[in-house]
Amino acid sequence: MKQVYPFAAIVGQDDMKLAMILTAIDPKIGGVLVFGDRGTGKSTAVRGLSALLPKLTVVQGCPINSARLEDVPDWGPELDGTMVEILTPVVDLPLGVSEDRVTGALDIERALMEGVKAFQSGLLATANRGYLYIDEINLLEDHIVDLLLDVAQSGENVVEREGMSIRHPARFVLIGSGNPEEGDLRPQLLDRFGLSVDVGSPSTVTDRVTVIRRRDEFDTDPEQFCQNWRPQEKIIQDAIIIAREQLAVIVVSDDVLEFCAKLCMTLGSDGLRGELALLRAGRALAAYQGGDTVTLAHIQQIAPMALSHRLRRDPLDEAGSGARVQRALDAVLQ
Amino acid sequence: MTDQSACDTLGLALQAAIRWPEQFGGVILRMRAGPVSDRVRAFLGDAFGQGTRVHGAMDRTALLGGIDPIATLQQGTLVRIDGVLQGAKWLHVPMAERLPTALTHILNSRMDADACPPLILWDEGIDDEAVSDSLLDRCAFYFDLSDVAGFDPAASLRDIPNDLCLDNVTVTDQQINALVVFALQGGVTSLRLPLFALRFAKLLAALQGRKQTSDADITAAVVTVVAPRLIEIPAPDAQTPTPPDEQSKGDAAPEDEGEAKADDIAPLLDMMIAAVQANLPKNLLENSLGRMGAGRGNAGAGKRQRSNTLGRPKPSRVGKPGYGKRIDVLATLRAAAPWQKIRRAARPDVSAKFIIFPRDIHVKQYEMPSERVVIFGVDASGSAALARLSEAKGAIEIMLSDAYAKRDYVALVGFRGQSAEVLLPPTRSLVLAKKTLASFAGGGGTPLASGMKCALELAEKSKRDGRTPTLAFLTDGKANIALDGSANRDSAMIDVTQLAGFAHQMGVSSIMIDVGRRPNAKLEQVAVTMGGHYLPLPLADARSVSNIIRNSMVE
Repeated sequence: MKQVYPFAAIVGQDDMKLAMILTAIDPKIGGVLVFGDRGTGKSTAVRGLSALLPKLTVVQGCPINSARLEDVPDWGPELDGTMVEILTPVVDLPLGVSEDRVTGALDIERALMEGVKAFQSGLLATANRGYLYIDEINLLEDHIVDLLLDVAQSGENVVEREGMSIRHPARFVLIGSGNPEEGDLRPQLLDRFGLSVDVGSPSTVTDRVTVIRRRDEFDTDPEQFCQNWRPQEKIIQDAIIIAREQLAVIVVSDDVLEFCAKLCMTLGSDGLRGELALLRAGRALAAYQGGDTVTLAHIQQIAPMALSHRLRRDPLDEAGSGARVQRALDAVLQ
Repeated sequence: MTDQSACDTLGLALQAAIRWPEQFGGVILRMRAGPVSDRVRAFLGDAFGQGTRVHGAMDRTALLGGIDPIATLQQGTLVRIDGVLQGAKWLHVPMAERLPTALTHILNSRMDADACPPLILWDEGIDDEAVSDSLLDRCAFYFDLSDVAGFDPAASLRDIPNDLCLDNVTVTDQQINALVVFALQGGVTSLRLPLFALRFAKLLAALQGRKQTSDADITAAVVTVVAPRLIEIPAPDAQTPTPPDEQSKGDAAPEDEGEAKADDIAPLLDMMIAAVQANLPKNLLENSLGRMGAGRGNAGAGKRQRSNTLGRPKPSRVGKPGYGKRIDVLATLRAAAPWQKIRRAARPDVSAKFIIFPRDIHVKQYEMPSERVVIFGVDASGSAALARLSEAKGAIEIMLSDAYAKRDYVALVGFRGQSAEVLLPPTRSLVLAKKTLASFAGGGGTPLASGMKCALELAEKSKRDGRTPTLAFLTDGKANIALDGSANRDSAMIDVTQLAGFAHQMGVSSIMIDVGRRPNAKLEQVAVTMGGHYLPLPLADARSVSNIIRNSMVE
């Protein structure tokens, strides 16, 4: 198998890495939106994360990666229930992809050849229990975006077309990336992402040299390179596994909840998604850092990530959204 | 750089890219069709075998392979076709600047997975048309051959041994440092380019049988790979290789190391700068301007209106699938149904339950509303008061802030003093617009004619890109500068009327917002000649301007 560049070996980009780790701990946080320059390791990070996460146990041959034989959909192939371990799936959603390919559609091959009405599953099925990665999400066509919104929200893909009526679970973590100078994302879609981070290419020479050197080492001898980084990978992996177990017992005090609510009110973010994202991300962060309660410090650390993309866009306000979140934080803390 | 040495480098770059696509990605050749490009093409065919052509109309199946429905029906067994990405020796992409985003994206993701044949892209763009940034970033080599007159293919082919391996070659830390510092000082932020340069330096060393890159190798690699992308040339006396000002404070040790190195890379850095200056890319500045003026988006692919894949569905029709058209299965079956008895009688040998002929195949059709672009022509002259300008800026920002929903692009042409200029090329990005608009001031004469001309040119370009332009002028109509720049009220007005006639012929919808204190009859006349609306609005404010334009736009 082709070696994947180790997640731990990515230089800098701490916010992005943290956001991805948090969604790996608690997928309910929602997706991660990564906005920034080209060649900053966004796609490398997603793939690296998938390689680092504990393997999934799935029914062999199941189109939606079911964990139990009884969950395999009846439109799928006949399976004997052999269980296999696979890497957490990362599915690329290419721009210009057709709706059929995303949701799944009538299996034309079998319709033409055998005259049977069979369902051919799409990318949403393959991404179940894994990651759906959309590069340049801001350039994605509107009708695909609408479709994704709906599925990401309900966790279920409903296909009603060509005389078929099929539904199957599609729970995945959306990871979107894009460059804001090439166009904006609709607020409705922005809001569905739990966390958003801005990435830039490393600004210091030292960092850049490190990036080049590591990449060069990796290209020259990928196996050795991955071997060298295995201990660091293991540390992150173990922390994620422990945090997943701890998640259920993390305590959130009323004070912290109140703080979240006040913060969101000050910022005027729509709906309650902001509070929920804050709460879930805060809990995941506490679990990741080995704490047993969510503290104000946790919330402060993840507030820019969880809220900066939920602010009402004001074309006449000059300050960046990160600055606005910081201002609100200061105001509420006083 | 002499033509011959340029050709040698080009020859080596082409060889390298075709031999190690996963290391170098591809080569971008910026040149117009002509004898030189023919010769390069012939050379490629001779040296590397026939390449496969990729063009803008190809769809996913054509690139990545899939089922061939027609052949499947004819033969009664499943027939798969290979996409051009499978098995092609190299891909030849003419008019790469017009490659649609979807195609670019497929190529990008294949390249990221190291599963793309070597790409040779021909950038035949004019002015600011160029290959998409994401592809630029993934191809190691960029050659601007617009002015190269002679290319001698035979002489430029190098003998690369079959077992040549780049992985055994080592590079010193000092060389890597110098490379990174040089690229950063030159304004190249992407990290892919230094990596490409590193690999090219290794290739140069390996070709001479060395296990260690020399300073000359790395310098030559910088000249070949990094120099064409420089936004500015690093200053030669940059003895302060201005590194790491805001270095992270935490780790003292590596920082010291970095500082120490900063000194010993200075000679190498100077060597690079001298070499790059000696081989100065001809249009360095143009390049950088073109690159910086983002918002270019995808420059081409005009056929937006009748889409094969997007938008609202229309009734299916008989047709051949492929080229992005998809089969409408139900319509196809329905078309074949009445003939089943007759066909069965005619072809008793066919075992399929349902006999479908290729002529039954219906393909889906979609209709997508053309994207609209509002081109603001804003009078920034002294007579039209500065307040208008800020209101126009406000209107643009408001329109952009919901552009995602309306599919609108917004552009701004400003005119003042002697001439007009495009201040904001068509964009949907609020971020970019804010950056550009902040720095535009007003004052001077009223060259309305120049403003109209500039806006019309932009409108024509938008049409080429498949968008529907709407012109919106904010002016008091007191034109006093003619097209040739002379301050003559009469000839200025004649020019304006003539341009208004052109606009009418082009069929561009327009709206003339009169922001003068009193309505101007002449301006109304101009609006009528343009076949557009005229609207006196002495107290134009951002919100009402954006509403008016929205309402008058063609749906």
